[in-house]
Amino acid sequence: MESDNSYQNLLTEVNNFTISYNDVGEGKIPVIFLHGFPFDKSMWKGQLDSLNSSYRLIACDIRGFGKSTDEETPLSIDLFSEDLIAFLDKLNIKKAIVCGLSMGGFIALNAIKKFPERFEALILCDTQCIADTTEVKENRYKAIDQINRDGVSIFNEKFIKSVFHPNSLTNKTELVENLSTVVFTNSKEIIIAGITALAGRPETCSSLSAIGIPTLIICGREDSVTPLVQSEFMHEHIEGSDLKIIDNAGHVSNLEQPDEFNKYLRNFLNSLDSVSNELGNP
Amino acid sequence: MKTELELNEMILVVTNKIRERDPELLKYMNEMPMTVPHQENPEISVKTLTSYYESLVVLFEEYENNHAKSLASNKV
Repeated sequence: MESDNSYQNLLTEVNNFTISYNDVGEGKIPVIFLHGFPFDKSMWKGQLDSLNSSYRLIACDIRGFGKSTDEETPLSIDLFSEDLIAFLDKLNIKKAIVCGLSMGGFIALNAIKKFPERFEALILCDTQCIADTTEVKENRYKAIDQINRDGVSIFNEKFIKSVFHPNSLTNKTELVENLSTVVFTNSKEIIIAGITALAGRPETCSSLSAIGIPTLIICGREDSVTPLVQSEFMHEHIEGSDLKIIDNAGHVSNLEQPDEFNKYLRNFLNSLDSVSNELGNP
Repeated sequence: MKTELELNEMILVVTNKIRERDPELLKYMNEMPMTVPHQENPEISVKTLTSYYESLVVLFEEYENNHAKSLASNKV
């Protein structure tokens, strides 16, 4: 992952906070990229660099993260999806393709459930539709207690190790360091607010069958945070969806294997263009 | 002096107008890179944003004026 210094940080106020975003390239239907917890929009730089000559690509910092600072409002996936719709409204975007990784996928699924008319296609990366089990919730609250007691460093370090494939941890040290810098930029308050949002998220599995738009699911084969079986479940329940599995990747497949990830993304976006052209859409 | 956020909002308004009314201008916008240094420096950011905003306004207004003139001359 390279640092995010080649795109402008645009700012706009939506839903009572200032959202920071990159908006590059041109295309009929913009692709909105939603990052995972506790990262920021810079995690999509490899995708923006690779695809901006063909598509309009927008990567935003979710409320509280990156440069979209907000340490006052209690965070939730419901709020993030409302922010997303307000953001689309502000940019005058009637319909978008949404691409979310991990927490970004939770937001995408939540938004599509509530506002299906606003989306043209869906890309779910290393994510899942289930809510936290009681055990997982308890573990999250234990993590919050530990952060309050000992500080955020232990949690961050453990989390960073958990998102990468073992080979990435050994061979892609610069990538690991860069992501680590992003994670450590968050305040303790935002890490806690983010964990609370994840723990409280509603399930979206029961609405998968209602998703009637083209859907691409991408998952690292060794994703230990949202395991492959979760992507397979979504694939089975979203009619017509396509599942791509990336070898030698963990939970951040777009960072660990960007070429393969971008190939699947590009093919999917091209396939949408073909369908649109066949239907004679402008 | 305008703040970064205010300038960004002004840029967004012009950009939305261009997308809606004159999308053929988008290719020229992409040739007007707005390079805000990664190192936080509010003064430089405001300067860069102001200059970018002014360029966008010139691009948009000139195009709209020329377009209007050309429509008028076609009517004559």
